[in-house]
Amino acid sequence: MNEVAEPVATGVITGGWSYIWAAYGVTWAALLLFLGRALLLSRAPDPEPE
Amino acid sequence: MATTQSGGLRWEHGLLALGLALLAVGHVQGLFFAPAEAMMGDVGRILYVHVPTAWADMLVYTACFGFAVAALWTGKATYDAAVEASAEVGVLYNALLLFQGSVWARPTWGVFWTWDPRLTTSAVVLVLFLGVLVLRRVIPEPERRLNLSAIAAVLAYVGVPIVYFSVKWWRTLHQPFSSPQTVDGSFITPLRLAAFGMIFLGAGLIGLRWRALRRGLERDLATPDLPAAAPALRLPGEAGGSAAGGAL
Repeated sequence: MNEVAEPVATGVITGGWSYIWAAYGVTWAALLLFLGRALLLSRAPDPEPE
Repeated sequence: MATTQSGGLRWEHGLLALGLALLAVGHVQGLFFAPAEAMMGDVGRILYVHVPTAWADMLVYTACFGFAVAALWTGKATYDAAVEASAEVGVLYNALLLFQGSVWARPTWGVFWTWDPRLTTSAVVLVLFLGVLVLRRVIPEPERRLNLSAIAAVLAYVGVPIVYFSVKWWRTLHQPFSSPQTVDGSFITPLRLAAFGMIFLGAGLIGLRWRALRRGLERDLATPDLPAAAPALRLPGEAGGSAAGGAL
């Protein structure tokens, strides 16, 4: 029995741009959505003290 | 009811613009101009979105911890609002961090998720700070909400240094700390630009949310015996009365 496990893969990972676009796309979309919501809420009218 | 419109440019708008600009430049450099990573190839470009999110998230949670201590110490609505604002931004960054990590893990580790110490502790911290936000929604009394949510935020923050040191304390799939000393020189500029972008953007988002939340919380704390939901529960035509009467 081998005492050292065989590597499951070797070499450089190629491609993978779909993962890259997913990471960047979701990040920018979430940041811009949160920013838009925060801007809308920050511009809500202030009630005047009665 | 008479209203006034709050508007105009404020310091947080400047931080937001600066943050977005730095983040965009850092990401464009990282995606199109930086060299591919030696072993991970192009997938390594996720570095420029993932690592800055992690650094900024730790800073946002640290700010939340500071605001929570200040809220407990002073009892002021301004710190109470800052706790909620920073917890919201921290949760956003933390959720993004876990998503980016999962997307990076699939082509490099072969799985979207594994119960690795760094991943698990990050997920636990996300749940803890989500708990702080939920707690704030379910407690109507302003003073009790301030105290309990600040205590919860301080307790949740205990997880943040555990996340940071998890790659040192336990055997983990996740790579060790990333810093300008541990990455190749050609990666540093886009990494640094994106990191400052996420930090300034986070500060601006906290500022925006803080300003919106502070108004309501100051009003609530000025009338501590009147829970925020009480006026809506009064009988039609009932002008005054105690908070308890309104709630009944």
